[in-house]
Amino acid sequence: MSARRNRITDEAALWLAQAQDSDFPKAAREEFASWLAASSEHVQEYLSLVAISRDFREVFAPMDADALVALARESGKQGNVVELPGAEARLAAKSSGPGKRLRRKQVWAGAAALLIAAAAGLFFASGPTVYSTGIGEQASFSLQDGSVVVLNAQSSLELDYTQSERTARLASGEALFNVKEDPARPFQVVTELALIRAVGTSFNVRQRDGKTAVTVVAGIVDVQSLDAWRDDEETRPNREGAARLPGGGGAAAGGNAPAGGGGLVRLTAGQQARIEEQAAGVVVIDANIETATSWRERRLVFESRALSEVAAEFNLYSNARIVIGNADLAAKLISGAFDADDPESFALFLAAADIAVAERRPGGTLLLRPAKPPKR
Amino acid sequence: MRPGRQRQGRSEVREKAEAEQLFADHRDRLEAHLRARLANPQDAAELAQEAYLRLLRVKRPDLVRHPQAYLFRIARNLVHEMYAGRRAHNDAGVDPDLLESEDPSPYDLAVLANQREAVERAMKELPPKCQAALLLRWREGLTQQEIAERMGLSRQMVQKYLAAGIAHCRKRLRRTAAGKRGSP
Repeated sequence: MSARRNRITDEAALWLAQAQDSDFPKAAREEFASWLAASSEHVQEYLSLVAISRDFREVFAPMDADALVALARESGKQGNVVELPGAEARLAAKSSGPGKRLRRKQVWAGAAALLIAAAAGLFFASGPTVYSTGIGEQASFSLQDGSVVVLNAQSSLELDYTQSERTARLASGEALFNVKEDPARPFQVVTELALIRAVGTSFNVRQRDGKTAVTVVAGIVDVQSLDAWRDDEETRPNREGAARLPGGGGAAAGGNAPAGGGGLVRLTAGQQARIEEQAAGVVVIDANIETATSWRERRLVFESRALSEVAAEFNLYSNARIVIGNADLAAKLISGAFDADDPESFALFLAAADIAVAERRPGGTLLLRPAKPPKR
Repeated sequence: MRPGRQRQGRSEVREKAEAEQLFADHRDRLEAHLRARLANPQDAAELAQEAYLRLLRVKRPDLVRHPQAYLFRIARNLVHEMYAGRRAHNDAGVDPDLLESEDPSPYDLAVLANQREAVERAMKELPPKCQAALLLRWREGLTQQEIAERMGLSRQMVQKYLAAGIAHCRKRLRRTAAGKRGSP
């Protein structure tokens, strides 16, 4: 964890050293913009470094620049290897820099650092990595291939990267994937009900309450129910790999409607596929992308959803639990946009709309009762 | 070219220039707020999350043109909105009256002083070359090339010193903060 943060710090520091310099070529700026857009952790780290650089202005204010530069030049002449504290030494030594000036000790330090990095890479490539989030927690991860995953609250995702495949298993919860294109190494998401395959695209997967919903933000995604995939695998004579999606080569993947055979469905931007435990096959509907991805802004947007579902959604974000004391009320349909971290304002909305009144119970529980006695 | 579009373009440019001017006038104050926010891990995470979401909405070519300036402006806007207790709908909506009353609070000033002392301690641990490069960059505003010439180093080496120096300070600050909070 701390090694990861230190790595982000090192990356951010290298970008800060280059940004604002008169010589910051467009290609590097593009790379920097992508790095920033990859994760909010990157943004936080970069901003923190900018803040420190501002502190430098004051910290260095009383110091004599000429004297310090003279001292620095002197320290070089003595032939000492310039030691930087701790891990920073590796960063400095790893550079190719001016070859003739690299001293033996630095070369070895660099080689050792590279070996460690290579070993770490192998280690991470060899087994799955599990990411999970708790109540109200969201996290974004930039993966080694440049793909980005944003994980919603109370979600668990296992990533398994091999030479030929990138597999993400969403055990439960919700995730938004921005997949870096790599035709040689397809990206697939597996939930308990569905298999989702993408080449390079952006899509949202939600696995909760025995339902999988896949919403495509950009690009093309293939979806198949896990049952159909298993049937297909059994009947296929020459399977090439255990986890390959049928039709991945382009044979059965042309159609937009639920194609025959494997029931493989091809989705484009703005479409949503739903797979439910009890229902057979994949149902495709037109979806509102903003609604499906609004959780990233910690906004909850509902269009005609049962109050019970809405309450369950709020309960993912805060310790204040919403409990519904009446079955008719639980089935009531709700539409609206709410702040995920503010169940109180949701309760006020329900009261104002004459839907329910909230009773505050110990332990942060909000008990919802019908606003008016149910009609007989 | 459609004339309507051109007109809109010009007024956008003017609005942008006015917003820039406003920021220039209140930069120090906003920066003080921003730095105080960033010194607190929880505030920093919240701020970064929000800044990140806005960053994603910025058109890519704009972002690529001035990545750091863009990000920093978004962050300053956010801090401004937080202090003003409201959420504006766009990036450039700055109300000068609100800014006037926003001197950093005594708490902010204490946080800033604390952080500055910590940065100073961490900076003093760095070797002289690293210190000199950082001073020339952040106090004198020299470019990497200018620092390289002045110190008799290669430009790449200057870049490494600049990066390693600030990274060291950041890590040291993080360890201090973690130590104060006890086990995280």
